[in-house]
Order: sequence, then C-alpha cells, then structure tokens
Amino acid sequence: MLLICTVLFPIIAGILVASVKGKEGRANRSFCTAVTLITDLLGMLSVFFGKTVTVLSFSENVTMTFSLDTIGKYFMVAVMILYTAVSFYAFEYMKAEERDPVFFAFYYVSFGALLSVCEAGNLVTVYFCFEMATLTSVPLVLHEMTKEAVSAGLKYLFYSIGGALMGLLGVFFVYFYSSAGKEFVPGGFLDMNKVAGHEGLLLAMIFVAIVGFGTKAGMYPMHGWLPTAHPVAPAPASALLSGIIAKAGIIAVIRLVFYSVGAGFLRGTWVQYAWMSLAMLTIFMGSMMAFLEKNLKKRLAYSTISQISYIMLGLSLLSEGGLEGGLLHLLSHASSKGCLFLTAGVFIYKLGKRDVADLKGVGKQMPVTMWCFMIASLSLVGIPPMGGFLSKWYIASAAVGDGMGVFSVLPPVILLVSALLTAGYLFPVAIDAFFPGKDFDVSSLKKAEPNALMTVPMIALCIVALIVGVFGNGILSLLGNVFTKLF
Amino acid sequence: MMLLPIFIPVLGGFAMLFLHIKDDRTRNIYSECVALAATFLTWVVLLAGNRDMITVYSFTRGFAVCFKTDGLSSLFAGMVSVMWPLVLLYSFEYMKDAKRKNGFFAFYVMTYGITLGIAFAADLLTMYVFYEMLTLVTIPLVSHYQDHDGMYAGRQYAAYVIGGASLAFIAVVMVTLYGNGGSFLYGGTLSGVLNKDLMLLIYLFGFFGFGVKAAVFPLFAWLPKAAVAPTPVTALLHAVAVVNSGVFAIMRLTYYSYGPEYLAGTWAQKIALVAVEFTVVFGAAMALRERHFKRRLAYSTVSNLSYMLFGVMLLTPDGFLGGMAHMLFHSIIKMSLFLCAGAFMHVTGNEYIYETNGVGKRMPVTFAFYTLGALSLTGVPLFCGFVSKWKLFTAGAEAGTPLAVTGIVCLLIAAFLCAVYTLSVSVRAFFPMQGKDRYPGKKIEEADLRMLVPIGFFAVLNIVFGVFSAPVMNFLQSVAQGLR
Repeated sequence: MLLICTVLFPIIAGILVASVKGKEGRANRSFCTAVTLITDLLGMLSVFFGKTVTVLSFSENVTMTFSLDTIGKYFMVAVMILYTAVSFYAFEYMKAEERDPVFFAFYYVSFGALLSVCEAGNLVTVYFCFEMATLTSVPLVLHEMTKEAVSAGLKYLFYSIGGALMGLLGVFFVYFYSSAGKEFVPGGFLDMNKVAGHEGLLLAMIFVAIVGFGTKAGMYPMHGWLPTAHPVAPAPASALLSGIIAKAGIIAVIRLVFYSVGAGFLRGTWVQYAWMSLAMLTIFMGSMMAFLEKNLKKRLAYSTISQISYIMLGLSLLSEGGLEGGLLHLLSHASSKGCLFLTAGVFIYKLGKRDVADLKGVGKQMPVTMWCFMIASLSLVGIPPMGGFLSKWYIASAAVGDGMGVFSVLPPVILLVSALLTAGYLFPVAIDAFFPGKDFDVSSLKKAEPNALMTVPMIALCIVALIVGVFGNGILSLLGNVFTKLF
Repeated sequence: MMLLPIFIPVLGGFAMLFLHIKDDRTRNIYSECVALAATFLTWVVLLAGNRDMITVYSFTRGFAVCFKTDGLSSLFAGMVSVMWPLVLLYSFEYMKDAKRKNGFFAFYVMTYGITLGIAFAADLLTMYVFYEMLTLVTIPLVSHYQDHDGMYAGRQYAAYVIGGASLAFIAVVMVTLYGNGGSFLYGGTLSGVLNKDLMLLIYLFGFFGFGVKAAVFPLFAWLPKAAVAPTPVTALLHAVAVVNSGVFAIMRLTYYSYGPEYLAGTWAQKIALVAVEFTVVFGAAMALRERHFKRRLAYSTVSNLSYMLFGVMLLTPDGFLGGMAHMLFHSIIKMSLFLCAGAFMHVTGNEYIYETNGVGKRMPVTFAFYTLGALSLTGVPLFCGFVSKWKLFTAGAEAGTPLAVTGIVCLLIAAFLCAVYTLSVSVRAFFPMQGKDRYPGKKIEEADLRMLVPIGFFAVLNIVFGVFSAPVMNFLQSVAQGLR
C-alpha cells in the first residue's frame, strides 16, 4: 500500500500542480516544494517499511507487482536525490521559460513514474513502468516546442518505445522458459528443463533485450536520441534525463540479467562478449564525440553516453566487482553529471552562453558555479577522492581479475583512454573560465552568480559525488546482501 | 428464436426504404429502437444457451439455410450487438447534415441483421449466403457521399469482395459435398476421401477468398480506399463488422470445417502464415507512410487483422484463443480510434494528419481518449491490447516452429511502427511545433456529447478488459478448446 502511494502521490499531485496557480501564472512554488518533500517522505517510508503488493493480475503468470529489495531501495534513493535537488534549481530556471505549470506537472508525474520503475517487482511491471517513464518525460524534453525540440522529443519517444519493445521480446521469452513465480530471484528463475535445446534462441532474445533496454542508457547502437534531446531540453530536464532517467535502462538490465536470467546463464557466452564490446565501443565513441563537440550541453550529452556505458561495462562483467563498480558509478555519475548540466543551465540562464568557446572568464563572474563544475569534472574524470575514481577502479580491477583474455585487458585500457579524453573535454573549460589569459578584458565582466535556489542544489550534488568517493565502501557494505545473494 | 434478432433489423431497415421518414428525430428513434431490440434479443439468445440448430429453408439435396448458436457465434454476435446501438447514436450526430439519410440508416440497420446472420450461421453455405448479402448491403454505405472517390471506392470494394467470395465459393462447395453437408463442428468435418493436396489447395482458395474481407496481402487494397466512407461506416464496418466477418469466416473454415489437425504442418498452413506475417508488417509500414488520418487507421486495421489470422493459423488452441481475443479487443480499440478521428473530422472539417497540429488543446477529451487507444493498440499493459498480444506471443512460442517465432518478431516490429504512427498524432495534437498550431484563435469546440459518450464507453471498456481480462479469456479458452 505504501509503495502504491509513493508512486501515485506525485502523479496525482503533479496533475494538480498544473491547476494551482502561483505568481504570474507560474506553478505555485510552495505547493511544489510540498509535493517534493511529501514524495521524499513517502519514499523514505517505503524504503524502511514498504511491503510487496500485487496491484493487478493480467493472467496467472503476468501480474503488476511492486516490491522493494535492496537494489530497488538504492535506486529509489538516487531518484529522490536527483529529483529533489533539481526541483529547487528548476524553480529559478523556469522563470525564463513559458508554460511553467505544464513543466512542473510533468516533472512530478515523471518523478512518480521513475519511482515506479524502482519499485517494479517483476519484468512485466518493469516494462510497463519503463514505458510510463518514457511517456511522462517526453513532454519535459519537448517543452520549448520549437521545431527542434518537438523533433528531438519525438526521436526520444520512438527510440525509447522501440527499445522497450525489444526489451519486451526478451521479457516474454524469459517468462516462457520459466515455471511458476516470476518474482525476481537473485541468480535467476529460468527453468533449465524448459530451456534445454532452446539456449540459442533464448540467448539471442536476451541480447536483443539488453540492447533494447540499453536504449535508455544510450548504449550503441541505440544512442542516437541522446545528443539530440539534451541541447533542446530545458537544463533541469537535461539534468534529470542524464542523471536518473537514463538509469532506468540500467535497472531494467540489472533486473533482467541478474534477477531473472541469472549471471551464470550468460557468463562466457557470446552475449556477454557482444555486450562488453558494445559497452566499450560506446565508452570510446562517446568520449571522442564529446571531445569534438562545441556546444556545452551536447558535449555533456555525449559524455553521458560514454559514462553510462561504464556502468554497462561493469554489469557485463557479470561479477561481483563489476556490479559493485557499476552501482557506485550510477550514483556518482548521476550526481556529477546532474551538477554539470545544472551549471550548463546557469550559463544559459544568466549569460545566454551555450558554446564552450564563449565561457572564457566565466569563473570570475560566477566562482561558486565554476567551482561546482570543476569538482563535478574531477569526479567524472575519476580523480580520487571523488566517486568516479572508486567506481572505475572497481570495474577495471574486476575486468582484469576475471581472466577473460583480451576482454580482461581491453576494459582498463578503454577506461584510461576515456578518462584522458574526459579530462580533455572538461578541464580546459574550467581552466579557461578561471584563467582567461592576459589578452582577455577582465574588467568588462560583471558578477553573475545565480541565487541560492540554483547554487545550493549544485553544491549538494557535488557533495553527494564526494560522499560516493569517500564513503564508497560504506555504501557497498550497506548493499552487502545484494552481492552475497547474487554471487 | 434466434431468427428474431437477425430478421428484425433486416426487415426493419428494409422497411425504412419505403417508409421515407422525413423527420430526423423520428427516424433516429425508430432506428435506435430496432437496433436495441435486436441487441436485447441477441443477448436473450446467447444467455439462453440453446444449442439446437434451426432450419429456415431447405433447398434440395440437403442444402439448407440453418442457424445455430455456439461459442464462436456468441463471441461475434455478442461483440457486434453491443457496438451497433452505440455507433448508431454517434452517427445520428455525425450524419445530421448529410444527404439521403433515409437510405443510409436503412442500409446501416440492415447490415446489423445480416452480420448477426453470419454469426449465427450453422453451416458454410448459410454463412456464405449472408456473407454475400453483407457485401451487397454495404456497397451503398461505402459510396454514400456519391462523389467520385466514393463511387470508385464502392466499385473497388464490390469487385474485390465479390471476387474473393467467388473464390471462396469453391471451398464452400467442396466442404459441403465432402464434409457433413458443411455443418460446423469443432475439429472439422472432412472425411479423407479426396486427394489431400487438392483439398489443401481448395482450402487456400477459401482462405484467400475470405481473406479479401480480412485484408490479407495482396487483397487488402479496398480497405484503405474505403476510408472515404462516412466515419460511422469506416468505424463499424471496416473496423468491426465487415473485416471481422472475413476473419470469422476463416475461423469457421479452419477450425469447424477443415479442422486444425487436417491442416497442421501442411504447406497450406505455411503459405497462409507467410502471407499473414507479411501483412502484419506491411500494413503497419503503409500506415506510417499514410498522411490521411482515416486511411492511416485503415492500414492499421489491415495489419491488426493479420495479427488475428496469425493466431488462427498457428492451428493450436492457444493460437485460436489469441486470434479471438484480438478480434474482440482490436474491435474495441479501433472503434474508439476511428470515432475519435471522425470527431476530429466532423468538428474541424479536416482530414489529414498534419492538420491535427495543436487541436489537442481544443478537443482534449477526444484526443485523450485517442491516446489511450493508441497505447492499447501498441500493447502497453493496463490496456486490453497487451492481453491479446501477450497471448499471441505465448501461442507463437509454444508452437515453436521457425515461422511461429518469426511471427512474434513481426508482431513486435508492427507494435513499434504502431507506436510511431499513432502516438505521433497525439504529440502533434498536444505539443505542436511553434508556429505550426493550426487553431490558435479559431472557434473549435470539443465534440458533441452524442459522440463523446460512445467514445468514452469504448475507452472504459478498453481499460476494463485490460485489467480484468480473466472472465473473457476463460470463456474464449473454452471456445478454443471446442468445449462450447
């Protein structure tokens, strides 16, 4: 019951947000704050007290069930952190945009949808909530309703639906080759008697599903929507999209691979190697494209494509270390990339600047913002003590330790190359911002630091990224029973 | 008893041709009463559960016009009888400014009775007679506007469907001669007298002949053309009655005349499956290309009819179940989609997809219902489209043959295309690109209540069956296993 309320409340409240008017026809900020805080409260209550509940039964085997296990709780906390921090930032940012109430309405409805993905108790529920998350976040992307925004929104919609249907194919075959009880079981619930003789077909379908769910995660070849969607979405929406909505793909893949099929079924098969290859290709390609890109938000979008495939790489190792690294990177990337998109939004909101080349000297105009940019970049590149370092370390060492021949050596190399490229596409921005060079006319710059509504969320997200790095092992031990059950 | 629901609308409608009722209100009330009477009587018949055969008229040599109620006829009759009075209500508003309404409603009501005749037919010959009558009585409806497009569409419809039925007639004759007088019996009635390959060839004549109404490639072309008919015609006839008669006829031929065991594993089944799987993807792809709103939905129907036939041609009880479930659920969904499209056309006078930009703000209820239908057609859980699709997947996986698994993949591809060709309209309606909103200051109002109530009813049914599908599915399962 608690789980259902946690999902329904923000959805219903979100619809109401569109009607409760505040100043100048914008959404009522106090009402929105209340909605955010109550949802967070419900979420935390669910984490501690939530019980499994079957909402609907489509047939004997196919039900819509919500339940929260440790992984679900972890995701839920990540979702709540992102949505809460960005909501306050959005209060300020959306002043420059039109149709403010519509934006906040879909903001909260998509909050509910994302929470439902975390709470999904079986694969069909995951599929349904995944589709709902897509549908409710499309309006966020196309909010500005320019030709580019609507096209980008449609591209996102159709890529995501296509990916979800590919995922459904895998979900169906997993259900078909299992016996009663489709709830998630660590290690999988396939009925090996039924599978016998059909392994080839099942493996192919699972691979299709991984690529399909990987659409949300921006894994090649389904990454095309990401770089188009981010530049046109309002900055808070981009922060959410890269920060947490993309991670819905990750949770779907985790549920499929570790809790339905079982890592053992895939280990050593062509599916694992193909998955690893796609992840590594994406990591390299994303970093490379980011390096070459001039528009800051598009650069960050390519960076997201690359970084989320770090997580996919970690998952594809099908080992404890890989999963640990992947889960840590999830929270670390969510917070640091969220923060970076918020800073990009500040540059647009305060100065109207979208391209990297225009950001010379910005550090003097808004030092707090630029410092957040710098710290978040450190995390993304993977410099200790930030979160990004610990997660990459886990993934790289898991790969090396697995003894998979060339597939043991490639991951650390790719991760290193990507780290260098990441430094290359982030650090110069910060350096030019703080030290624009002696030819630059510093006296013409005016102070433009944004107000607390914007700076506090950015600082908060940086702190989260730092916590992941410093207390990463602590977080992993909190998640401990996940690893003991799976491996 | 079963004859009453068939002949009341036929005679009542026929009478309208001579009564020449001038007053709209009188005519509307008369038509609605006839339809409601037929519906009421149909349900009395269905609930009574009498399984006896009634012979109306006997030709020589054992050919007779006879009727019987069984599980499959209950499904078709039940479905059609619920929808007709509602769409009639919708059409009163839609056609209020049209010409020659008397003839329109006369034929519309007669079609109801004849469709019930197909549902209750006890043997292949009776079904064939009513099948042909259905064609004849719907030609004037297709051509109603009597403009160039309408007449051409009507002629093409006539040519295709009568041609198809003639092809199927060969199968009708053969089965009647060699299969227990053509009476329908679950599991088939053929004795192994004739050369099997010849009988299979004749089966395919029947399949493709009846498949014209079911819009199987390459005989589908009449359906998108017929989209020029008034919306009540396209909605009810071309989403429900006429096209489902084609599917129904194939179901009768396959499960009740030839029998699944006779056909399983044969080359005839394989050819049928290939044609059907191709149509699934082809229809969806053509829908994507199409820019006329109703024609797009017509191509979508082409695709979805082949979902049903895919289930049927798997020749397993689960496949039959999936086919029947999709027949029911697709009718509900497509009905609501066509009615929404019709409401849009009626209110704005526009027909093309690009003319829906921004209309969602003015007709939010209509397009909200449209979006629900779109989600259901794509197969999102919570809606009935998911239930039938999942059943079709299950049936395909259980059959396990390469063709069956290919069919599952085809269904998924079509589902993706469906999402694109339906949801793109929703996005255009509610989120038009800047500068492309077609209706900024204009006076466009939400559709009239007489249109919204039927649309709303079907949308609610959509969700009800999506969430509580067990009773229906259990009933259909017993039909599929030959227990009813």
